[in-house]
Amino acid sequence: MDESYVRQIAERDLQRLTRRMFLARASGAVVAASGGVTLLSGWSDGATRLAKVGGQLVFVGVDGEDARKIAQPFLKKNHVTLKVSYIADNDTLLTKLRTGGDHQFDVMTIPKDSAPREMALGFVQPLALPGPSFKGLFPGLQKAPWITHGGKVYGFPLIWGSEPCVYNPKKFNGLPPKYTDFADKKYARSLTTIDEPYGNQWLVAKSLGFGHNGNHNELTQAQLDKVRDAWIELKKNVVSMTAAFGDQTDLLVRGEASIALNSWQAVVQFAKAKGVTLKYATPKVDGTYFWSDSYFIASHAPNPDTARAYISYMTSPANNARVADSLQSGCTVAKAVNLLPSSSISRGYPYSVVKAAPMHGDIVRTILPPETSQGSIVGKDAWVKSWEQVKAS
Amino acid sequence: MASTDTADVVDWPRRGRRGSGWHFRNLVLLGPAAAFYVAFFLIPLGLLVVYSFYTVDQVKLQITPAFSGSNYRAALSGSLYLNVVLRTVLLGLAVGIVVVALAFCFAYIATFVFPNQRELLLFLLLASIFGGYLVRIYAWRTILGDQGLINSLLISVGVVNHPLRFLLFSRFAVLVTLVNFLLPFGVLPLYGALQNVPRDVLESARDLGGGPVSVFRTTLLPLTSTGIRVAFAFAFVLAAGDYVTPQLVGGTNGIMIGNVVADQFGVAYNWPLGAALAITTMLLVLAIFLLIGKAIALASR
Repeated sequence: MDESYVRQIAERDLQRLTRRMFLARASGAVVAASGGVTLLSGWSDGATRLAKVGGQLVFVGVDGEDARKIAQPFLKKNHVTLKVSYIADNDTLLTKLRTGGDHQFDVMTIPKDSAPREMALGFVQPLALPGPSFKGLFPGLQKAPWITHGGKVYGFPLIWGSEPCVYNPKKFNGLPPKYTDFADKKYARSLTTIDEPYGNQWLVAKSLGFGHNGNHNELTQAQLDKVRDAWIELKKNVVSMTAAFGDQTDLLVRGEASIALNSWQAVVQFAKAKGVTLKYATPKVDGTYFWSDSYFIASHAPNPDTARAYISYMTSPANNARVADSLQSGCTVAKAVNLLPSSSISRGYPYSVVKAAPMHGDIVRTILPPETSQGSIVGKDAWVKSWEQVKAS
Repeated sequence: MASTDTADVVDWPRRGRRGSGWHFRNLVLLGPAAAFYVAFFLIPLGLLVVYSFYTVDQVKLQITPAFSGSNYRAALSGSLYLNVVLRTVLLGLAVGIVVVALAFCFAYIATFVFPNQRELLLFLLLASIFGGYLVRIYAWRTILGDQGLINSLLISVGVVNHPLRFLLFSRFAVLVTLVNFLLPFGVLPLYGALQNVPRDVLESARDLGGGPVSVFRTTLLPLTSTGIRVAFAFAFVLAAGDYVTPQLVGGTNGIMIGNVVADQFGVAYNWPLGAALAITTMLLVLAIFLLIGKAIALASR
């Protein structure tokens, strides 16, 4: 553009400019600039983006962990539609994530043993919750290895517990001391378990005393074969291997099974809602394993702001107490314990386990076998094949 | 003036009479169905075949393109998979035979015994499909269970003192549930085949001294052999491929190859092995179906 022409235009405009016009235009420019800065900062990534809560929220996790009834006030106030899908094992979730689920799911509950892998593979995003939520967690859970990766926090622990047996006290007074004792004929047509290859075999491996350096997930092929054979004996007394805890509850409620191995305290609550009283316990000699499920947000969640708001709401002390009580599990928020109903089973949990920071080694150990074979220690595919042999026998 | 008729202008290969064979209009009419078939069956099947030769990195959860026969070796060499495939085929055969037998009886009754009520009978049969697949499975769990309808009835009339436990969570339960679900699919082709059997042909056969078995073998069977093969195909193939029914009512002995394939895809993330197992089963089921079809054709001569 010609320089003289530009000067000519400028001079013409300056001549028209009065003091009032200058002030009006200058103030308008300041407002526009500040609004632009606000908009720009609002559109940046992370928590500084303007939050928009509402619409559909897709939840994938274990039965009951969506806690729809407890979330109802939040859902109603923010016009959120909760779409829920239940899974019984995390490998199913992993497959779903691998095939595009990370673009379809918003909130997921992932068990402690599987979460590190989900974080490493990039299926979940760092969690930046509004408010002091993380500081409200028990100290042992604040930096639990299954919610942090690369120095960032990805998950928020929701509940924790052990993996007990659930049984009908009208049929059996209690449990035998070891899992392998369930092969006894007196348990014929009484047992059920979840159809998953890792926890089931880990429990029997523990019962048989197999493992490497105290890790019952590290087995040689010979040991795994013996675990498989022990399970084939156990299977003679198993009525059905269910795909989810809801199905397991149905079997116990109908009386088609009387003892659920590798179960969950929440099954007692599910059965109570159907009018049947069950109890949970653990074989005294073998014990069981610790678990904790945490909220995570999928890496490309379609509605991440609503997901964060939902998690914030559900992890307030009051709501964490309600969720834990409804699922007969341990609270993860310290202040939630005193908010539990006085008769709540969740009160009886050994909270010293999660107060210790860092948590005890036995607690944080994984039950999952290595991804691939390492020397004589067999990997996941061997465990899956072993379980298929159990089922096919 | 030169003809503008397409049939005259273009020299089509294998040109048949107008309205038949490879006529352009027929190809156009077939187009959408063919495109659907190619897009939603042939292409996915082709992808499955390709996947069956791939390998998988369990650490990175990545499927690696390759041309490896290891999955087929695993599928064919180990007793685990072969036993399950055999069990699946046998159960599928049992379901197919029972469905064909029951469907033939039902279709015969609807066609020749109660011809005036045939539409009502068909409607009642087909209405059962509207309940949904899972609903029916759970209904059978209620009927066959320890406290279900059958056991309660038997105990109340004093036939048994304890529930018959084999009714549920057994291969029997899988058989009953699959037969119930697949019966309408067997009835339809048989009903259509029987509609084309002239009643006077049957009467002539009887007039000539044929007993029921003889009339069936010499008259009905040849005239309905295509319907029988189609009914058997529906029942056998669908039963062999099912995995939800064995999971829910099969107990610990009802596992079928579909469950193993589902585990490979859903739990083990070993899609190549799952694909190899699926292709192997498909080929075996196809081979058996062709054998059975040939047997039916021979029997109907």
